[in-house]
Amino acid sequence: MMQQILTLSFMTAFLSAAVRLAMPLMYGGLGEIYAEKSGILNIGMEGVMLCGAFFSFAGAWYSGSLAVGLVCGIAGGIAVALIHGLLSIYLAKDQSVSGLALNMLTLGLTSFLFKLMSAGQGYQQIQTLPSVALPGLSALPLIGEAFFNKDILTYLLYVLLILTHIFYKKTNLGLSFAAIGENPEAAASAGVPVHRFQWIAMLLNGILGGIAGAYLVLVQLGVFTEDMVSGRGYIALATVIFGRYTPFGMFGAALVFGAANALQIRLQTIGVSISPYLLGLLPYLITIFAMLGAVGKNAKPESLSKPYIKGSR
Amino acid sequence: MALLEMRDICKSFSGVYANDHISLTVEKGEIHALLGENGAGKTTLVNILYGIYTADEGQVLWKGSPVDFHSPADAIASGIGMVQQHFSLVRRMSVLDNVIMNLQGNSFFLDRKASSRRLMELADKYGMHVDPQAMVCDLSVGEQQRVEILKALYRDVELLILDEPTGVLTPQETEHFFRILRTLKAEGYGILIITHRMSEIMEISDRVSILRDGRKAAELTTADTDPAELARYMIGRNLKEAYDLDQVSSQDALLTLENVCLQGGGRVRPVNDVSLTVHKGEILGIAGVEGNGQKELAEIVAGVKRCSSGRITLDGKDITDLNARRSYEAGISYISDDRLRDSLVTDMDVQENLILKEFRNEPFSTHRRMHFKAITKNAEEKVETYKIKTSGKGSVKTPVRLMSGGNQQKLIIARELTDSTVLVVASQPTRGLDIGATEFVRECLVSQRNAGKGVLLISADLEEILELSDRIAVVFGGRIVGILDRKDATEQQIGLLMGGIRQKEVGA
Repeated sequence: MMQQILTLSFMTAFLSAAVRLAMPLMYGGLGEIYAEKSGILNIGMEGVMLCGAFFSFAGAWYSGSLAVGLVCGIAGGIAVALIHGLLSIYLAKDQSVSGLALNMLTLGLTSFLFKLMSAGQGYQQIQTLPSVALPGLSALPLIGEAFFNKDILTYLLYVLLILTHIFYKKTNLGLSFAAIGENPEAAASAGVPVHRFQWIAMLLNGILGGIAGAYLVLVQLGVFTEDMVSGRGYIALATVIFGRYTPFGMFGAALVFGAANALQIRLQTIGVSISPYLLGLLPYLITIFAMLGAVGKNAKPESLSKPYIKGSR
Repeated sequence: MALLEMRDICKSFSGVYANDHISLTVEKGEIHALLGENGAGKTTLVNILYGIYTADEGQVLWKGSPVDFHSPADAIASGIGMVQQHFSLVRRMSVLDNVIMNLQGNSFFLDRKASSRRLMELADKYGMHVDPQAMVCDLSVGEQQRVEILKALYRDVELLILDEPTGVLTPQETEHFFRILRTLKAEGYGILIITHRMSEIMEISDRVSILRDGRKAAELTTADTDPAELARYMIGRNLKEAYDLDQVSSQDALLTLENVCLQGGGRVRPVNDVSLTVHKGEILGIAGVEGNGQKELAEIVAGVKRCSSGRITLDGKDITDLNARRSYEAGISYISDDRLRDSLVTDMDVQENLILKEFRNEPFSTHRRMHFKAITKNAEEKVETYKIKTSGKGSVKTPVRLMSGGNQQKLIIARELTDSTVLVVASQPTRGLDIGATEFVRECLVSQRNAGKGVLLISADLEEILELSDRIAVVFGGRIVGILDRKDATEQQIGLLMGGIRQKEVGA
């Protein structure tokens, strides 16, 4: 069995699968970075992704166009994120409660709408987004196939990661966006419009979370099933913590989770004598260990999930 | 033409006037002090000026033309900067990032090199040395304040508002800070400073406006007035001159600490080898910049924390290992520096808070059943004796969180100072209180002393320490660095000890 694992072709396929499986986590994680760095904890990321997944499927199914599907998925994600924004920014409610409520709401809603849409006939499939090999880069051994022979959404993510990094590290606006999650009073007294920026952050959270859900449908599976996000939204939250609230840290963390998932699938297919249910636990176990490992190294924005109310101290 | 003119500013919160037709002017190159008790409306007034609140009525004129600020951004853009009482710095960002945050002149991409150079120039010019790369959370309070001022100056303000700027500084830091203010004044900045320390007003300001109950009580030229007059306007009566400490304290040791240490989480010990004695009928003041082990020391004596080594005795009995409840029963009363966290259950009402330490005992309960009649009666008596304003219809059934800080503190004192009290541990007992309440608290402590009990008074306010203590111990880095007699102690000397300079070097 070890020989089977240690071949180059196995490793290439494994790494490629890891990147593919990590992609929804990375989009979700990136969206969550924007939200959390502005002080809004969106536990509802699961719901954002689920709505993204469902509406991208519905859009693509009815229009026959993947682009329309993507736009619909983004719109679905935005809707959920903005409801969370309404509750946590405008009404200053408890963000954990709001997020959890949204997860349950979207689970019911998408399942219901899908039943209506499919009218009981089970399996509906759409075309998935094709891979485009980047000339040159994709020829690199091992990583070329894994990172540079992918769909355009993957490449878009690379660009977004770099832009996000530059945004927070180098730009005037990025500094303000990071400050409102640390100390909104301080930011406000420097003239930063805290609430407006939090709304913008939630908008980005919705867009990116929507793409995360859409990616599952439009790239990975081509179908929608009930509760298809199945915890990836929560893992995306974990990647943010594990990655210490930086885009590249989150990227690395998501890759670890993707690899765990890819590994358990590979092990199942080559017929390791461990129960597939136990193997399926792997990514979640890693989540827990990642959390334990992150103890003490706190990079959490100091005012995360504390509502900012203007004029109060 | 005045730099700033506020005309007939009115602001009410749910029907109560916080500012009632207040007018104020600040000239260029003038330091204008704003004096008043807590709740007199000082902070409301400056918050209106800074765009945090909007005035109900009245007008603000900036360089002669009316302005209407809706946010701090508007105020900053016009050239008004404010250093708030609770600093508004992002702790986990560098000094530089805090200073240049959201600057109007910033390009989309930050030019940290150029900004850093300009910040250093500015810092050098006013003798405020800071490291632009340092994280704010690693700075001392005094340094953080410098960052706040630099942040305002960097924005090219012409008027600087300072809300209680010296509350957290050592005397030396305050002196340095005043030097900076004088330089700024000479350069033509207008400065509006809020403070309740008379000595500082007399030293630094040109004019002073006094607010009382939301109205302007007086505006005086500092050179023509004196602290007694200021106090009269501020509280509407004369202030007590000095406390009666004539009675000599006895030589009988009441509380002794021998080599008491507390092991902290890290390598440094929050309390390191502390030995001291409080005699009967004595107030021992503990001076020091906050965070040098005072809080831990108070908690060890009160039994809240257990020391890791050393011995504590009270009236000859070993109390080293007693917990908070046993310590209280042994006669130790504890007034914590953090009333809301350590001393009160804020959602409970007055009568319940008054029996937090006695509810097990008669007459408040027998056989684990509470007797609310006795509890209410006790509360009504205490409210009467200590003149606690419960600010609510339900009187003793008012939740404590609705009360003012001064009345909360009175409530704690009413609960803690009982007949069986032997020793009072008072940690920052007048913090955040207005002059009236402060006076009351101090009188209570002095009367305990004069009744032959011991008081361990921990305070960051040097004036308070000097006014009340028979002897003064200074802590630095968890150690006692010097013990002085009241009659030998000077502010200068204590200030140096507080800054970590040893007694030998001070020459005492």
